[in-house]
Amino acid sequence: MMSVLVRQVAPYAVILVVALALLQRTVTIAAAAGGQGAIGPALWPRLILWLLIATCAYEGLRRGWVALRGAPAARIVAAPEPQQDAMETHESDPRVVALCVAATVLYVAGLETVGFFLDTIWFVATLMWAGRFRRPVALAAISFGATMFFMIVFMRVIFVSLPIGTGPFASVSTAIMRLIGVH
Amino acid sequence: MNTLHFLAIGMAHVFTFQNLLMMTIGLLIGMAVSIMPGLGLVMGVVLALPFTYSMPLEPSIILLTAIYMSGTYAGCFTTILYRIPGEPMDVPLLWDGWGMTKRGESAKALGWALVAALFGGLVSSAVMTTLAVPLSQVALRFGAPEYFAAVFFGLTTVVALAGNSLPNALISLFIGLLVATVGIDSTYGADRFTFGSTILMNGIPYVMVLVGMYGFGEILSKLGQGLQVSERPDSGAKVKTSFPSLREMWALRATFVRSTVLGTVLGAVPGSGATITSFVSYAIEKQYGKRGDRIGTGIPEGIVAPQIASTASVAGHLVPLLTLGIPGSGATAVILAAFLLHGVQPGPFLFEDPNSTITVYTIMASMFVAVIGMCLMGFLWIRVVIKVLTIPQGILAAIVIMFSLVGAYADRNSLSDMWIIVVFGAIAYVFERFKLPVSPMVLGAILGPIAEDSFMRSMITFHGDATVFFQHPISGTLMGLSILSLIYPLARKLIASRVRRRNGLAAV
Repeated sequence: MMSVLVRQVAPYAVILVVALALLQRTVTIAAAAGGQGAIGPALWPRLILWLLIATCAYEGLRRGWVALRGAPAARIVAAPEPQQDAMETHESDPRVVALCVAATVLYVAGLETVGFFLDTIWFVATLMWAGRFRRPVALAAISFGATMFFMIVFMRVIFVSLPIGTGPFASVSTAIMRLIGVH
Repeated sequence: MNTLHFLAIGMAHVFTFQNLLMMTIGLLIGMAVSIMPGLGLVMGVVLALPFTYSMPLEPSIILLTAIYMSGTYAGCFTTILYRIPGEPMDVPLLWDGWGMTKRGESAKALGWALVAALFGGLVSSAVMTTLAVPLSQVALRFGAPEYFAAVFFGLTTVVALAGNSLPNALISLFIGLLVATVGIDSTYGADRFTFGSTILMNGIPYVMVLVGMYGFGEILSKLGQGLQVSERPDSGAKVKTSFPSLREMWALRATFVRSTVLGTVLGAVPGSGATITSFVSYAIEKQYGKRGDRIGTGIPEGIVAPQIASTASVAGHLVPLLTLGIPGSGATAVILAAFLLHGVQPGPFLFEDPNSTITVYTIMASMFVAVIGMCLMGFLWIRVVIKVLTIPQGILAAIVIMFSLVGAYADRNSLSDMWIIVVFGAIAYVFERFKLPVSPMVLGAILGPIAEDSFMRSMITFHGDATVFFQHPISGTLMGLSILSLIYPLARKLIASRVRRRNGLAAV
């Protein structure tokens, strides 16, 4: 019973706490703008935050009440949309999602140092592996090909200056760029 | 007369090499993304956006509009032939389309879908092109309260239609509106929720929110689910189209008219995308159609009604964007972003200048050509396009994520935009885990700045009098409709629970 209660109420409680913290922050916004009374830069965010707080409080309390009364889960959790039923959605594995998010964070963090070429090769390979594409040779070939494709499209067609990295990584990127005709 | 004159000039512009090439590419991309489960037309439009940076305005908008248009049609092939709805909007097609395929009538089912898309697309484009100038003249009379009421109507509609839980939809919307307040406030120049970060000073671009939540977030969910839908099942059906006869079409005339009107009108309502129009049209046909009781058993009405409505909604969505500057869906928000990137603000003033008027009519003319083009491609090339289903989903997922990230980087050559994508992608996943709908948040982030700007201007002009929104005829009507759209789902739920309780008591 307790775990159901926590699971039902926790998301709303978290949003409520964040909203209250942001509401406190609007005092600084109003003060910085010279405190122009009711109408000022803090008016709109305050209005939204109060509405958010009220909705979270209502829904959190309602779900808590239903959970405490031991009502069936169907009454607490909204039934899925009809189209979602027909679209055959499956339970998501948070570990795979965490792996992909971690890989993306590493990728973005490493772009300036490692450069687009080398950074993208391992990143694309990781994503394909996470997507259950597990043939090593094809995986390596496709990640190399996809990286070259992105470099050509973005550097030669759209003229975007992609990061080349630093030190030895920059030399590799420069060599590849020379290969595809980017100077 | 003027409309026809400008439309003819627009048509001549469409038939230039670059515009026609972009339309063809757009139609093919739209078909490919709508066929593949996991990708969608909004994602297709989002992924194509970076390619428009170095293009002139007309081909850019034509490319995005063509993706949007064909994205509402091509999903019918995999839905009818293989029982794989590429997009949620194709689900109603599944019930009757698959039913006809099982009886060996797949070619006829595809023929009905083609005729429906052609009819719905052409008629709604014609209606909306005719209404564009009158609408823009009405829009010229809009003051700040009317603009706020129009945006408020869009926001409440999306909340009312977003799912089964109204509070969850409201929470999602409020978070989206809050995201839009981050940065330097445009009226007072005050610093809001930046926490000292220079990245946040310029605000959070709504395109990044859109790419993060619909592109990166969607693929994260699919990867988490293990990309199960990866193989094309063999239904034994051939990819062949057989047209219905004129007599058969005449017999369904009421369905054609009903669904076209519904698709166009609902399309013009901000927030109601092709999915909603498709489902509503199917439900209306089931309730009021001559053979409504047989819908779901594999009859043409079940294909015609949702297909017409989803294709008709495209013109319905585009014209409010062009005449009022208000995007009503994810795809039109990206099209708005493409306009803004080229330094053009859509709205009634586009019709004041002859050059921009021609651009608007070129886009409208492109809708007619795109509808015909997508049906021709559907008839001739679909066997080739459908091969995209054989590409492993793992490769597609990696490519889509790369397009999302590099596309975001390309906008301002800034890594901070990539971080925004990562953050909002993760938020989209959390939203999905806790059953919070994503679309109200995205629409809140898109419409938030327009809503705040018109709200603040109204407050300053009318000295903080909030009743101003109810005093003017247009804004009062829109506010009334907004309140009704919020009350309606609550009332429906209340009535349903009373009926359930009464039935329960009767059973006892």
